Amino acid sequence: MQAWQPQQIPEDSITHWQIGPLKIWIKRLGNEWQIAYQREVEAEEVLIPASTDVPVPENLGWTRWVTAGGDDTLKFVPVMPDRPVIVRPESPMRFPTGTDAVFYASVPIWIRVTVGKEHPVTLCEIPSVVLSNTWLGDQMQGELCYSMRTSARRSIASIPIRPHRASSTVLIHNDAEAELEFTRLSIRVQHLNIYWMDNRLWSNKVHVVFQDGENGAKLDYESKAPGSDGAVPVSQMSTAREPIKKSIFRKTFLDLKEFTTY
Amino acid sequence: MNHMLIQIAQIDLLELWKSGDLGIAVRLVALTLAILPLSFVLSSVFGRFVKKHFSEQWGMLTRKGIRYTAVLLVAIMAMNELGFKLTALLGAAGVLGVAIGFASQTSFSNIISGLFLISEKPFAVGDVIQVGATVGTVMSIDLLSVKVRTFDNKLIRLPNETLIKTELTNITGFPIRRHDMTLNFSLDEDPERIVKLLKEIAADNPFALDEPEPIILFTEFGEYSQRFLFAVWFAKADFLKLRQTLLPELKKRLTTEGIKIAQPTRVLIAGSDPLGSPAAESSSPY
Repeated sequence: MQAWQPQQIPEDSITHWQIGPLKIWIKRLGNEWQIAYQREVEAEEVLIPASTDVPVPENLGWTRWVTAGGDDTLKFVPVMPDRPVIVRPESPMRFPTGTDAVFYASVPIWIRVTVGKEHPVTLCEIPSVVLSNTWLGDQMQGELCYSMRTSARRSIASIPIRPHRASSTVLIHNDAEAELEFTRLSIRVQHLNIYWMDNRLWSNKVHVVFQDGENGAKLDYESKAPGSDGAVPVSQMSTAREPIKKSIFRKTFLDLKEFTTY
Repeated sequence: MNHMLIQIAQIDLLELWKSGDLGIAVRLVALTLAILPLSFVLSSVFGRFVKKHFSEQWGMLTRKGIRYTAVLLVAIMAMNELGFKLTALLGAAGVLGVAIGFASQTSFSNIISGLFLISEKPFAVGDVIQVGATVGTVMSIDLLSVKVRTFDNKLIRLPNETLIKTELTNITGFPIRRHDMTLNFSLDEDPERIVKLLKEIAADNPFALDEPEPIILFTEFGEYSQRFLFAVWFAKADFLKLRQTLLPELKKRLTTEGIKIAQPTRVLIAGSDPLGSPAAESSSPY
């Protein structure tokens, strides 16, 4: 939680953070802000809060911004990636008609760097992990998505707590007459808020209902925080890029037959 | 006083409108000033409407159609005002039309081809197309020609008739594309190890799509190599990024893993009984 609190950045010094694999360096010179970052692939669990006495690598690529006024307040905001992510279960799972199951996915967040106390200004967004591109659809039409290396799990206990990942709860229900084979699922993360609860980042819950017909699956995004029954304190960290209130129908499950041509 | 001035002004304008040569000039100017700006407004409004509901090309055609019709209308009314007999003019136009028809055969062919191109929609503004040796981004689809901007920033005008007649490739017609590479590896290398490495390289590249999966095929034995097809799918906007990252990564990983790209080699066998010679046995790759 400490990394997501607003912090005062001293002038003329370099402050360093590490949130999972992402290392960030920020320098403030009056109303000028300079940002550089690198990724350390193996460092999944690391969380280094603001520190100023860290050696700075020489080959950093600095990007500079000028802000109005000389506000020294900086805040990192965890946000979801800008495109849907495709998750897979550990092994394909079959859903007979009328059955449902809950899965948990661990989505690598993007870090939005904002400056200013009263009216924060976004300087940039940095993906904590560079996800590989993937395609949801056939060769002629579809949607560009990100592909996740980690698989969706049946229990939250099997998803380790990571500072740069948000856990998403997905309830899959098969309402169609045919059996559903769950091999890959698209989570439209641009519609998800991020919350802090129980020492980790969470998104709001997604209900995916697989139906007959060509409309795709019915998607519902709960507008409340995942643990809003009051059992544990919850605080909202960011709102969705594209907030959505009503149900939508989208292609969500990928059919293997679509890509069998050479 | 004001009332009287208005009356005088009305009388003057009315007389001016009716009076001889000056009247004709005034009427022509008035008609031009009324029709042409109106046509610009109408063409703009209808052009936007058609562009929004149909396509950019049809919007452009509507705009131009309204403007040209207005100009023609003004020209006919001007000739009428100047005392030309329209029936005689039309008769002369018939004769002239034949002559002009022969002279502008190519232009009409291009116009008709342009209409077919717009209705068939093999490409749209912004697509990258290849026609013969020309590759570039479509800037505009006009009545006579298509303007293409090449990647080295040259403007190329392709007549519509040529586009209808020749084979045209729309490179960015679909949202994803496949980049095919043929790789030759030394015959000493283990094919399974090669396949595993190529899979890893594609998976590690953020611009190579995970799905559709990359195609890695051991296609054939070459003269001195084992030949693989390495085909990677990518989003059409990522073509340069993919090439800039995939090939250097491939070279780096092959060097790290010690997998050799095949070099052209010839095995020379000396002596009259090559199969029996120990040198031939040891040097033959087969």
